[in-house]
Amino acid sequence: MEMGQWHEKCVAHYDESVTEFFSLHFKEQSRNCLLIGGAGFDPRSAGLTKHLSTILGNRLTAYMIKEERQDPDPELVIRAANNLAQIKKYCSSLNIIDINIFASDGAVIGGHNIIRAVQKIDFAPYTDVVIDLSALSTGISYPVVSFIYQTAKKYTHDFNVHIALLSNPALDGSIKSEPNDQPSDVRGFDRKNLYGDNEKALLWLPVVSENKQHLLKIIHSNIEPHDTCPILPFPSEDPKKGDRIAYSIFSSIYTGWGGPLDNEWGLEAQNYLYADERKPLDIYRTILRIADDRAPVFDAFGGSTIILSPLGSKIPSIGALMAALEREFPVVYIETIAYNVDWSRVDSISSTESRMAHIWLYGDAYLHDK
Amino acid sequence: MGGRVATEVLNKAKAVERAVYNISAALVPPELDELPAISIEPYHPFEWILEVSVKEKSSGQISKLRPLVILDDVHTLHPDQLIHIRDWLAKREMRISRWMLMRLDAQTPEAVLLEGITNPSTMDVGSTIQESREITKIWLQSSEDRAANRRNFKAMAKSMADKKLRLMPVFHRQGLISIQDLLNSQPTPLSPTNLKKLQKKVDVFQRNSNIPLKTRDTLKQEIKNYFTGSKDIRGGEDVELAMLLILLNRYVKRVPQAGLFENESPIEPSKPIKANAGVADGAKIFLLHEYGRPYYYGIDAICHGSSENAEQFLHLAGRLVNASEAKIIKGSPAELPSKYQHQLLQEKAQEIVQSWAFPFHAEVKRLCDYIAQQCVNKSLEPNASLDGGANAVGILDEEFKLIATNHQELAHVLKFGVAYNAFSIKRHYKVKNQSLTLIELTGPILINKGLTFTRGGILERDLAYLLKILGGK
Repeated sequence: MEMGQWHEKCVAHYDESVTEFFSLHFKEQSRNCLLIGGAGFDPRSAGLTKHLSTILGNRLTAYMIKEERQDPDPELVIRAANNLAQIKKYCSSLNIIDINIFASDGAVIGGHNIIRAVQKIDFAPYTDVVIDLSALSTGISYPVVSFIYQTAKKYTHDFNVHIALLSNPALDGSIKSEPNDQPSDVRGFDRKNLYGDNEKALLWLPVVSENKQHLLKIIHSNIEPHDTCPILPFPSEDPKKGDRIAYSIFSSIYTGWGGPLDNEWGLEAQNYLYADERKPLDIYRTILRIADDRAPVFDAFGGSTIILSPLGSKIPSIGALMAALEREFPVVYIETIAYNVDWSRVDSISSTESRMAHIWLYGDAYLHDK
Repeated sequence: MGGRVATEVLNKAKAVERAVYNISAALVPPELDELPAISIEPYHPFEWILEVSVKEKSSGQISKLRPLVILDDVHTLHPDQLIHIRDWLAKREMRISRWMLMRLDAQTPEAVLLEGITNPSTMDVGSTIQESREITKIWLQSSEDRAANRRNFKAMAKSMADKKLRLMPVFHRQGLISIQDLLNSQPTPLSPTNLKKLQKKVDVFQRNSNIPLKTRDTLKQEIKNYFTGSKDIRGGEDVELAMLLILLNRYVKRVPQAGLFENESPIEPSKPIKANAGVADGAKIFLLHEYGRPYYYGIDAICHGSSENAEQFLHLAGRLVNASEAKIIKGSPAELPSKYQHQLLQEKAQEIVQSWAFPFHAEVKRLCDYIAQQCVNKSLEPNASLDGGANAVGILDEEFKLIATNHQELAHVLKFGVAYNAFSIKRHYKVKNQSLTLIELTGPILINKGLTFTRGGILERDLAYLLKILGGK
């Protein structure tokens, strides 16, 4: 059976080891680093810039993406401006990319816009590109990583591609997003829906977190999978979180007595999958294992398709991204129209509570694998 | 078309589809001059396919069938794409039948809010076709003939519930085959203490308002006559007292101010005071708010509370059925007392509203909460001027028409509110020689806030009122 590209060999760091790695890797004066991240209201926006700038100094260039949505809450705008001022303080070579997530008529265009913008970047001067996912939404981060990964692979002058982020599930929990009314395919990870594709056995693997039942129902009714296996966070910092999520999903689709709520999803306890909330590679391997197991079974019946939906916290979504990158799995999500933030809670969460994660996606570390 | 044989036609269609997909889904789209020829060559299969001939094997008879193309979920398209596809399908050269299906909330606010009165809608911007002539609109969710909709839904929901109940072994074993068997329709009366309080309230009001005893007796008799008029109407001492309080308040409003000295001879009110279903409903709403007397129970409450939405009905009814099942398992009778039904329905309604997560849900909720609070205030007027109370606001049709064009945010809020069953819109409602558009609150909000299901209680407001609720945008 074909092993995944990062299945056995993947350079990944967590917590303190990330800072150790960055210090070691970027202290070489020959390294010039391009950092691509989000410059939004998220308090984690400036974290990685600050960290890398202390190591790299003027060898760091940053492209910070400002995701623009209609009629933002004035507090969000103020916070974003403050974060940007911080980033400017840390990085003198700074470029701001304004990206409209929605067109004036409500169409989701963030993915198209971001690709158009990053296409203009000249990667030649850089030895390393770090994509900071801490403050980027799924509709932006997935296309960016995909574009840079593909560019690096076909570039004459190789550069290293890193994904990094500051993860803080408590912070994620205090940022509530108001979802769009219909799902979208992530740009570059579209569903094919070509003639004959509906004969394939369709499995939907949503990577879930708490209070996403509504999103799950919207996506499910849109993609109409034959099977659904929600991926629950376990092990997790809160050991009961997975159970709570499983129960809430089940109770939202099943009233016990029929009709459209008669568990149309065919969801049973054994459908739930578990993946370590802190280890993206666990989710990556889980998804690939399922794909490999299904392939020979459904081969004779028209094939199998897997659709991913990263609805969980940031780290698990990296695992889903890596799986989607490698196997070209479609990714369906629901774009956020607006954010509602519980600022008192956010301010009470110390930045030291955020934990860092790093994946070396492409480059020198895999030189002999090419 | 790709050839003369069906397989060749199919292969050509597949090749065109794949070529177009590869362009539209590419992370970096190709330059215009790099587009593959197959993706830009003329390709018009629908203009060439006229009919399908089918030869019956046994008789050899040939049937000529006219194909119908159904495009489902068209709402997933971008509005511009939707217009292009629609215009393309509306072309006269096409002989096959075409049907596009889309969800309500994918329509423009104009199309949803001004349903039935605007033709063409703003979907026509850039369109070259005459919508009224080329297109037949079929509204599967309509505000027309609402009384019939309500009746039909009730019959359908009851039968659906009974059918599902029969499939549940716990109920089947008990011989319970109808959901009505589980729902006790006897009202839970007020406790003796509360009844005494109510009695005192009526006495104090009568005394303070100098209402002659004879008048009170006449009104009491009026109430008795109302309840004896039909076997189906259930009252109770508490409801009768609350009705009396309402009628006494109406009496005070309709007779001239009392003088300094008590006048023992009753004064005839300007308009006769009648006890009817409206007064009874007003009394029950008053008792709900003042003393917590259950109001939402029985199959009718579930049907009205679900606002003709099958999924909502199952959610509400499901909560009661589960509670009844739990009672059976614990060895208690399956029947749920009205007080318990009321409590469960209010809990579920609150859950439904809290789980709203559709676009503009915060604004929709703000609008609903504000309107509901004003409806509650109106419903609790001592003379119950709107009988059971209010559950809608009405603004002039002329003003309402301006929303879609001049007030985009409000238009979106109303559109999503309608699409997700937070409220419904009724156009051209005639009141006092005026034509109003009603924004009616739907089941979960009504149950949540303690308002009547009976339609017709309207607060007349204006556009500025709606805009003010949303912060003047």
